[in-house]
Amino acid sequence: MDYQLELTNVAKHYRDFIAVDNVDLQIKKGEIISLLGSSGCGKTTTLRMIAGLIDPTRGTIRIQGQNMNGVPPHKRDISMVFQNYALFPHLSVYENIVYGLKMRKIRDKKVLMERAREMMDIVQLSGVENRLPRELSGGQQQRVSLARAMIVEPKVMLFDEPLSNLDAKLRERTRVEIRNLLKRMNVTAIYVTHDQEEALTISDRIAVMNKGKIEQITVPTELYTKPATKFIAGFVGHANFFEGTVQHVDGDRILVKSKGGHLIQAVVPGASQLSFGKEVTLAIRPENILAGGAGENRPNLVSGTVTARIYLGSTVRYLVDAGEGKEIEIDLQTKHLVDCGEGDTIHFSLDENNLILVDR
Amino acid sequence: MKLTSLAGKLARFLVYLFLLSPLLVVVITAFSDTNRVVFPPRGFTLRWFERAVHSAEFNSSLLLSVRIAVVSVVIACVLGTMVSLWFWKSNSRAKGIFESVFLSPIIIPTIISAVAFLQYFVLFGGLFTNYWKLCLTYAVIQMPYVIRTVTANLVGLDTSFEEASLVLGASPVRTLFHVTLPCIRQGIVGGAVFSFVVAFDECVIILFMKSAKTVTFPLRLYSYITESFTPLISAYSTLFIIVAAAVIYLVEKKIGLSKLY
Repeated sequence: MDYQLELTNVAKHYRDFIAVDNVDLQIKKGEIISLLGSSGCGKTTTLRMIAGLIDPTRGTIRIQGQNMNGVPPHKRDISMVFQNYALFPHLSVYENIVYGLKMRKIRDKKVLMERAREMMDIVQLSGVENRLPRELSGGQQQRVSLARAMIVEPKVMLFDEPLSNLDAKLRERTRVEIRNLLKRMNVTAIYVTHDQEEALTISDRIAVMNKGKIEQITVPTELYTKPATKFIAGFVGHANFFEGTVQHVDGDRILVKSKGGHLIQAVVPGASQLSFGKEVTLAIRPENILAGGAGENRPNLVSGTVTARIYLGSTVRYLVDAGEGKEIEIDLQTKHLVDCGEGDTIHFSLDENNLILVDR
Repeated sequence: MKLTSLAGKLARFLVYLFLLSPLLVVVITAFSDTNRVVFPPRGFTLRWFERAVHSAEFNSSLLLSVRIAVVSVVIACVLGTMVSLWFWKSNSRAKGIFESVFLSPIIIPTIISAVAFLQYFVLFGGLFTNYWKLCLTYAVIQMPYVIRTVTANLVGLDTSFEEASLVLGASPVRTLFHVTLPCIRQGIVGGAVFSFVVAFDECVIILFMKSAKTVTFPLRLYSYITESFTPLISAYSTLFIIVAAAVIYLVEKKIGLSKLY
């Protein structure tokens, strides 16, 4: 299988600091991959190494099978959309858009005009050809930078948090547009973001980075329902954690005694590899916790004191102190509200099928 | 409230008067119908302006001064911009040392520089004509001005412009000419204007390095004034005030000199 972009064992060290640590990544033609992580996790460094703006300390980067080590950025046949757009302030919108083509030695005015017009139609930007970038709105500038990067038909298109300067509404709309556009043009793209929602909507696969490493790379739905590590469970959406020791293993079913003294039964794949006494962490999403169960006597029943009640519109979030260290978050549909406020005791149960076994 | 704003206006008026009154005196005496500069002027005539425009000696000195200034400005702008770009990109420890070296011509008294240049050209003078000696000397004196204004421009320049250009397929050299230099155009032009003025009205170094062929305009004015103090001098000065004001106005309008600070 030939990959459009392949990273093998890529690392970047700054003196004692390891920014990127042995990253492996294979990307097929036309695929959109997000690098998701908080700031300082190495995602931007990885992107800049692919662009050739910084050299990796070790490892190889291949584009269409060709080793890119030592190849300067302008010979990599890629393009990039920057966080601040980086539109050339002294050039008109038209000149900005055709910049990459001109640098590829396309001189014919008619060809340039035609390609620019076509591209501006695609990104829905017309009538502003002769304006300067500073005369455009943030959303328009974003479109220009998209057009400028896409017009050169790059082998790989790189995105460095391109939406973080837009307001929330525009951001939501633009990310869907970007995805549709990339799919339509069959462009291979790497998309760096710290916004999990953005990563979930835009990508075919998401690579979650933490401390310079890729912790998990998978499709968006799996990332939410089957996070591999505690970090990912907490980073992508909200999660509650129950740390404890295994009491009993039966096929895929395990019984765990949590730190707070609760008995929790969970159905998790790979449970058979666990044994008595093993320390494990179970995670559950706030929306998968069900209220009720007072007076019953079975596993997975937890009770605690409500410390806060946060109204979120369609749901209400309860923060509950159940003796598990961190407070437990429970999201209840507003229409299923239970009558209980701060300081009251709340009873709830954890569905054994919605508990996830995570690393660390 | 009204009183304070009135007092403010008055204070401002006095400051401007203080700054501009010497110039006013010069301009007024240029129209004096006397053979010596007198103030208040007597009579009214334009003949000094006519003489100023037609004086061959002065005109050749003027041309020489412009030629020296233009050539030295070009040298200073090219070298100064290169140095600024290096300062901008480099994290080297040597940078601090070089920064003081390149800015030193502003700090070192001109008279000391003049002696230094004189001695330097005694050693290597055979390689250059006096004209080129002056061009090179002035280029060195001007470089700090260019470095200052260009650096001021570069500090606010986002590195992602260059990166965008590289990633879009432009080589580093094309990136320099298509993106970086146009982005710092303001600083370069500003530096050029300052340097031009520095070279044009320089009179200390030229006293040390003049030759029969290189009597620059300030030198001509100076030697003329020691012999005869006619309103011709005032007429020249007036012309210059007008030209300088026009240039400053245009530069301010086109690129905004005030932005350079």
